[in-house]
Amino acid sequence: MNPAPAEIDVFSRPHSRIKRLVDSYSQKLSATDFSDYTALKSFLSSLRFTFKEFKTHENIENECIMEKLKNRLNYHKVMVEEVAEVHSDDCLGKMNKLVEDGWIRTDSCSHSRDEMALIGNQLADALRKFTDSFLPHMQEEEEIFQPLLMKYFTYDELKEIRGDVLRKHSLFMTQDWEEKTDGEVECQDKVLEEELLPAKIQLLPSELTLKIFSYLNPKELCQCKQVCTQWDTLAGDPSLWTSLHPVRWAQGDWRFNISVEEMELEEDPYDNSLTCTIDEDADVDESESSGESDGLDSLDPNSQLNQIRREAKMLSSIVKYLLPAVGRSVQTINLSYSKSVTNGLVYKILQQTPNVKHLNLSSTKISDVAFKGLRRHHSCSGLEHLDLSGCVNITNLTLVRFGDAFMRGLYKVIEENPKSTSEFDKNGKRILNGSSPDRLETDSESDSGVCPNCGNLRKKRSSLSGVEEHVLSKQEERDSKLGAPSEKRTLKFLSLSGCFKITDEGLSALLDAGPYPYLHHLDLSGCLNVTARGLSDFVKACDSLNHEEFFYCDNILEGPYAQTASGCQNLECSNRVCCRSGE
Amino acid sequence: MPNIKLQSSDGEVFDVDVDVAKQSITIKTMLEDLGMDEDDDEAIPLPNVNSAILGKVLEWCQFHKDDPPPPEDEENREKRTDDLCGFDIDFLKVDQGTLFELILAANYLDIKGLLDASCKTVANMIKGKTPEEIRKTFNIKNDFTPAEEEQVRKENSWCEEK
Repeated sequence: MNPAPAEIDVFSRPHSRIKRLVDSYSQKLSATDFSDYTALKSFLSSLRFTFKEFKTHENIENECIMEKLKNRLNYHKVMVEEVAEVHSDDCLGKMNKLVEDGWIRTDSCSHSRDEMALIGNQLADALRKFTDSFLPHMQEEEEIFQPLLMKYFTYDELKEIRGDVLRKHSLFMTQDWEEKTDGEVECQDKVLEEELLPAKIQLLPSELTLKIFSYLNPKELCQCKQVCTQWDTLAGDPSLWTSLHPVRWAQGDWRFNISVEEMELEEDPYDNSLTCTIDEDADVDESESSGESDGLDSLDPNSQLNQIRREAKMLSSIVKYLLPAVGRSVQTINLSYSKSVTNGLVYKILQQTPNVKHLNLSSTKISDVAFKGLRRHHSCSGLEHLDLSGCVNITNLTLVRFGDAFMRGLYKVIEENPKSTSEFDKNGKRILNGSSPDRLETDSESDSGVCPNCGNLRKKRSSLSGVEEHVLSKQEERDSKLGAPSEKRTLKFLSLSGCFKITDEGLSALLDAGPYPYLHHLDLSGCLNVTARGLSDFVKACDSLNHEEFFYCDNILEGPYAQTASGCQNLECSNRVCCRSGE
Repeated sequence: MPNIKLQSSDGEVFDVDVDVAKQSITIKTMLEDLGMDEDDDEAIPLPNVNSAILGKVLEWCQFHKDDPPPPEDEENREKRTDDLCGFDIDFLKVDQGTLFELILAANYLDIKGLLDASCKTVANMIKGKTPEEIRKTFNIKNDFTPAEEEQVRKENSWCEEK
């Protein structure tokens, strides 16, 4: 049997203390001369405290653990004899009574050595018998009840139960100490207590420890994870890691919360002349780990290179160690100006972060293949902010993939919505399966090789449009019935500035998943292969577009909102493509 | 200004200005739910707070009674810990046991300002420390096995400055 993870192991810690106490009285048992009144009296008084603690332990166990377990088992109609009968024999209560009797008898008798020895030996026998059954009892709890708890309770429930148990124990300890210091009797040595008690900070409920941790930056959280097992779990809590800015972090800016405005103002932290070879089109293979830093000259002492190396290490560690635990709660990924990010890394990041809302890959060398997994991993379907400005390598295929992802968001709503009528479910599924069996199930491997110009893609897209319309109309029908907001296409911000390979076809692929009722910012500066027609078609689907946040190439004549839209933003920009760049 | 009575877990009764006590959302809600009369003589029991801590909490509320209501936590605001006011810094210079009890009390009584300030104080005790220094500060036992410790060190080494 695998041992339970420490943070949900409800028995071990209290039991380890109890076992120490058992050891302690067992030693005294053999070392005490019962015929000596003072020795016997001192032994009895320490026993009284020990059994008071045992009894409290049993009560806490009954109240916090066994009651809950019994109820849960009843609920599942499972009968476990050990659970039903736990503590029912009241061995502990009987032993406790013997100890108390002994305590009184020693005072009410003549204090003769024989009498003392008699009382002591009777008690010692009872104590030995008790111990012989008590130790296996604890083992039984650990071996039978803990697995049952893990089977019928969730991880979080168990964590809470354990917290509760430890808190109640420590409460008893503090109260108990106050009594003891009243001076009635000296008892177990205090060092022992402190050594066994969890630190005070560890007794805080986890929600409060998380609140404290919410004031720490990623670097500090990584230190906390190394403190103890409890903190390893808590400091790795997904709620603390919703925003990732590895490029900033590698530069020593360790903040989690960097405002959107600040991100937009971001400037290239690296010297442009710095050459850095990155394997741009590394074949994406899920099983293969990509050698991110291989492209860097590791002998160059240049600090910028060191920084890039740090960034590369950070990215690969995040992908490998952090995201598996927290990926699903990540909402913001900012890799703007990353020199070390590769297609393989982006692929793996997006694979683990299906709920990302804000994705900034601006001014990186990534290309279409980075987004190959969007559909398969259901990633980016709820994207709100997509910044690919300056990603000169991307083509229409990237937009096709995002379009798919957004559409996937629609399917997800439908499939996950329990309110949909069964007829609709069947209907939707049948049509989906019928017209495009590979759409939902498999990522067609061929499309990585498909070139953006090809008619194949268009055909593939248009063959889907029937499905889509059906789904849309059904969706709208349902929404109008429920009166719910009808959109899952959440995109609000899209920048393709300088992605000069984009054409009308790419926009049209995005449109297939449209409309985009929340899109207010659209930057197509320097997209010189897009035409006025393609633009017009696209913006028709964007009801909320803010004309001042709408940018496109000045060479596009008769484009939409010619009077109100802003012009190309890249005229003065050295690092993003513009049609005038070559002049 | 009308007063109300609050009773700590150990039975001590505190006579407090309503507006001071109402910084605790828990108490505020209780008053509203119970429709407390001003001349109501009954003390509100607070079974989770002892008199020592309740006294401290009320001292904090008294000082901060004229503060504007705390802003809602915004998602995107950087969480600072260097913005504690002088009173709070001195007020929270207490032993760790008291500090954690204040956190628990502020949480139970739902006093956002005090909860934030006390949690920030603990966060400041963590900041800039190595794992070993953190353990020392809070008397936490290292319960990793050597193998686990090596693994967890490796997993978190990306945050090293080098």
